[in-house]
Amino acid sequence: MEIHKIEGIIEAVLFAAGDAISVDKLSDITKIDKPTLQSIITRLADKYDTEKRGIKIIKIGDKYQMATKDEFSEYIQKIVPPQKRNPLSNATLEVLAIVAYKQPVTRSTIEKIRGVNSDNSVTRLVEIGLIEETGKLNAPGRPALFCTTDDFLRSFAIESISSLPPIDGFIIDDDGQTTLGSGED
Amino acid sequence: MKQISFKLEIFEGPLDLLLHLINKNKLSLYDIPIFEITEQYIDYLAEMEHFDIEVSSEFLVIAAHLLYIKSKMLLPKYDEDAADEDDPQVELAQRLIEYKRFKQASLFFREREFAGGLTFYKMQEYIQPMLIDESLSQVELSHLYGAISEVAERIKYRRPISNSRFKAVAGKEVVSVFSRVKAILSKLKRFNRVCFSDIFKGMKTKSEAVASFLAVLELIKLNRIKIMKKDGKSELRYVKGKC
Repeated sequence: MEIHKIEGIIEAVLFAAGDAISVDKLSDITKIDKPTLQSIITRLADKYDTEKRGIKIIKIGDKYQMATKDEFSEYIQKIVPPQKRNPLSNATLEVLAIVAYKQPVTRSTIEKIRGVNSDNSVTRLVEIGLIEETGKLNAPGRPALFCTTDDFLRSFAIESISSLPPIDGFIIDDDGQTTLGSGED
Repeated sequence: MKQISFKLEIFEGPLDLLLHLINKNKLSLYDIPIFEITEQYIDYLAEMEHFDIEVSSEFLVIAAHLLYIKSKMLLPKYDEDAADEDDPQVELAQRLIEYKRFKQASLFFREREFAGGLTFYKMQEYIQPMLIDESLSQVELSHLYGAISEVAERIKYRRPISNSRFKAVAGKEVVSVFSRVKAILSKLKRFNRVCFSDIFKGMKTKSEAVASFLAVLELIKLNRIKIMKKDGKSELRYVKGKC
């Protein structure tokens, strides 16, 4: 199959689906192996970029989705009024960080790391759809396991969990201060 | 009454408070002076109570742990034992480092919290399914006309079905066993004895014969007649005293 045709198929399928489509599914549709397909999608995404189009193709975990480019947000806001949300509390954000790096993770693991009960934060994160219960740990009491969602990747503009900076990269130097981040407090 | 001259900070938990104390005193996480920190930690808890803030059990757990480490340090150490045991001080330091990492990772997420807000996505929506013309797609009016003409032609040349064709279905005459019983009994009345084969004389249908045979069996069962052998022939006779 010609590369242009494959690009066309991917474009059409992503447009029709709206929602994110996995590489597996796209590979199924086009009968093209995944590595080749991924490079074709990357090429297509680059094309959108260089041709100054209004849309882009983004990667969410192992899925691809069409989205509008950030630079046009002010125009889109004229047809889609923005939704407001209060920033997450420090505690909730800490829980989110733990889930993001330690997933799948139980409530008790989160509590152990933070040294304080975190059920409210977990509930809040599930409520706003940033984390979800993905199963049960095969241990006494069968505690729920939590993972981050595609919505988490989308709203934090993170490509995939594996693309997060390594947790050990948040260095604590000898005087117990400073980090990769822009400082504390 | 003692004047309160400072602001009480709110912490996310006991580990957060410990980190704050270590930070405030510019101490190293890898070498925590347990004595000072424990003292400051417990002072803080006392102040929380002073402010009427409920000290949750989690703060007390860490306070107890600090006191445990402190008491352990006061006791003389025996080297051969120490090698086996996990040093609670090291353990605490590791817990603090891990917590601090996540605390700092949370700052990374704080920066990005609304990063995706400028991008718009469509969620899975209703997709108008493709309408497919199924199998009749090639049929035209002329095809339909041709088909009906063919059927009409076939009907035209068909002869009316003869009555004999229906005989097997509709021509069956129902012969009741009871009617044959009556016939056999009247014959016996007239001739006193009847040859078995005579009963079936002049019979046209299978059902008549079957009904007659069943009638004979029925009469025998009811003990009204009996079958006798005479000159190599079977004869039907009345059972005595039953006429």
